[in-house]
Amino acid sequence: MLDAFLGWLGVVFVFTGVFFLFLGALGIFRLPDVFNRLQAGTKATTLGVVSTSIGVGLIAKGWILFAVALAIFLLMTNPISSHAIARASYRVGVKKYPQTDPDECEKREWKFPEGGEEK
Amino acid sequence: MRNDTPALVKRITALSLITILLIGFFLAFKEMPKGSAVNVNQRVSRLYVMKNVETATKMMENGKFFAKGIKPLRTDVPYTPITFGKSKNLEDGAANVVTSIVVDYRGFDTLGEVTVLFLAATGVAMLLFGKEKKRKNKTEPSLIMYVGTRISFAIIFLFGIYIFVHGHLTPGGGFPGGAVIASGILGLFLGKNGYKPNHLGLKVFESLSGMAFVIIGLTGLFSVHSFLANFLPTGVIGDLYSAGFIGLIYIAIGMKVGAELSAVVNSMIVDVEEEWS
Repeated sequence: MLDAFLGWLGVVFVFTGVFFLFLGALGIFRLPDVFNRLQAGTKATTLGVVSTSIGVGLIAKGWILFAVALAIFLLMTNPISSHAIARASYRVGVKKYPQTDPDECEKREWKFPEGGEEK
Repeated sequence: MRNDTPALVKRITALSLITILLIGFFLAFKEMPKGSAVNVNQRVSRLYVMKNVETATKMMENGKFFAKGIKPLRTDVPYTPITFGKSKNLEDGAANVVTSIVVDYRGFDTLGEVTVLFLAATGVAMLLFGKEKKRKNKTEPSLIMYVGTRISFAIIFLFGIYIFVHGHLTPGGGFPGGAVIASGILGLFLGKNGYKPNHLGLKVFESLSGMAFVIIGLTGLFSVHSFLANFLPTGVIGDLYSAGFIGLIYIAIGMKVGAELSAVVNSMIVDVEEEWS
């Protein structure tokens, strides 16, 4: 009984993850500039992969430890790498979508060193 | 498709393409042979086709493992199936075929590969290390990168060690494990400006692990009268302490490759004796 319940819960998790992965791919395809695409790719794939791996861990008994380890590792590295990419691309001066309204990084007090300035 | 093609034509073309792809996918899926209909006898490693080896053994004993009308390859030798966790004292105790070929039967070849990697690292270091590289626009990495790389470095390092310690049981081995370790060290470089590993320590570590490989080979030469021959008991297949000297050699290769690739990353990134501005 419990096994069957856990199995179906795992199936629900896997399909949630698949849905969010699909949303991430769609966002990368549809969104206008680098930063929006990075946001779509990172957020959606983080939730998608974590949910999928947890679901697989629930379906196949004995894999839950690996699944949780994988999820923790992804939660740790995926946002950091995306942050680094976004920061580097802002610094180099990648053009942003003109309708980006609240650009907090423009109001910063510090400056990037000369040569690497955007514009 | 040109730019002035009407949108309706584009959509219809895309829809038909997707339909064709879906139909082809389902046809290919339908044409896949079922597990009972596969002619296992034609495969090279028929023991590794089924993951559940005990079930496969029972099926083989009942005569169901082969499709009808197919005879086994050899009938002169009594057939003893291999079972994970039970079979002892095999010729080579590795749990996958590739490992036993790469490290055991062709260990000398692997020694040559390690030497090739060593030569490549030395060449890169000769070309790049110690050159004055003028880099402006150097900003301090953010706090998130600094903390995140420091935390994830430990996990990446542990994962690399896991890969090359379990080289004889799982896919992987020394080279991927070393590459994973070097990628963790690359993360440390990205996290902080002016991070310098101990270059001399890397060199010594690499040389020692390379010497360990050769010493293991020489031990085989003196005890079994063949260079890089297995001189340890092979144990039970599937255990961590099994497969003789494959684990030892993979540990040596993993440490060597990790140190070498870290040295390559070091000589590519670090600007020596230059002030950070």
